Amino acid sequence: MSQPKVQIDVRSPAEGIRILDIRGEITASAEEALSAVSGTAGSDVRAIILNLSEVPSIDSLGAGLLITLLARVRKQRQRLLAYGLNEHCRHAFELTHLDEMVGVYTDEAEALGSF
Amino acid sequence: MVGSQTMQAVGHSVKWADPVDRLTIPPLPKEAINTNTEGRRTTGPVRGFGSLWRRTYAIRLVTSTATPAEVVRVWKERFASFWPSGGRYYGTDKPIEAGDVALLNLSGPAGVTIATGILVIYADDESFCFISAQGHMFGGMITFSAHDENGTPVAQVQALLRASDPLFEITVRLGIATKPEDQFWQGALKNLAAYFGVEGQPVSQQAVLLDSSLQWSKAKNLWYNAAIRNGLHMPVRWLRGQGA
Repeated sequence: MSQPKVQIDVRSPAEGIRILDIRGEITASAEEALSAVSGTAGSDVRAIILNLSEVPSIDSLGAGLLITLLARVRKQRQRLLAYGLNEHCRHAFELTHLDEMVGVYTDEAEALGSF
Repeated sequence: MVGSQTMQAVGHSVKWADPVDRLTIPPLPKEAINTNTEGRRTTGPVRGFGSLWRRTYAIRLVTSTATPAEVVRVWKERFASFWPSGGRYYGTDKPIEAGDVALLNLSGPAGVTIATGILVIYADDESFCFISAQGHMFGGMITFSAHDENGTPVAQVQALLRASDPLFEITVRLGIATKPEDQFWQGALKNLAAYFGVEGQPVSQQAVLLDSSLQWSKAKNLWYNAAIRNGLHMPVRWLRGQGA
């Protein structure tokens, strides 16, 4: 299978909020990294924000991973937000309808301002 | 290319289709049934009702020297010909590309033909992906891909599915909907393998329940249920001498 092409770092800019800084393509190879970081979000977390400003592309299996992440986040009664989407990623969100359930913002300040 | 967005990433031609509001079905042969697809919107797992499943089917093309890109190229060119009996795929005459719309005529219960559709939302050199239309039994995304596994090409179908409405969810829970779905994709993969000269190879299958909760806000999808609509339309087709 393909080698991991993505790196994910987690930070917490405010209480109850986790930002995932994702670097690289989101493909099937991102499954392990996405599962690992989302699994660490405990009950004290109320929102997970995806920083996609360094994500050049998402393929269809990668979009599927984000749909899976969305289901997991909603089950824990958390919100899923995203910012920094380029045109390619915006297409992916729109075609898969992720944009209907994930709050999409221009930048980090705007995303944090939505709380 | 018309109707698709082309971007380059890591040497692959990565394409998402241009978003469309409503589906327009390509010209169809006379025998095709298109009673519930023209003008419909796409759905997918985000807009589905039932539990979220990931179903993965794969076959190893053990005696083939084809590259993953060659496997996917053939799959795109001859997609309809690999479908098992019990289903018809009416797409364009060209190889599959992002932005294509296709009509599906599927065998349903009691001899009813279920007419529904898909949009090809994504295609690159080693994969392509469908999303389902309103009325399809699944709010689904299906990715067809190939990859190399220790020198052997592997063809894979991965479906991310929620039953579209409460009625279809019942059929999923009873196994009425999933068993034919499993058999269908196993058959399609065996037909693809046969094209590459691979016979008798088993299809591996994995089903993972990702989210057992129901999206009750999507229960109204029942209005577009293709089985109900085609069942109601069947007497009209009989009277016109067009069969089920």
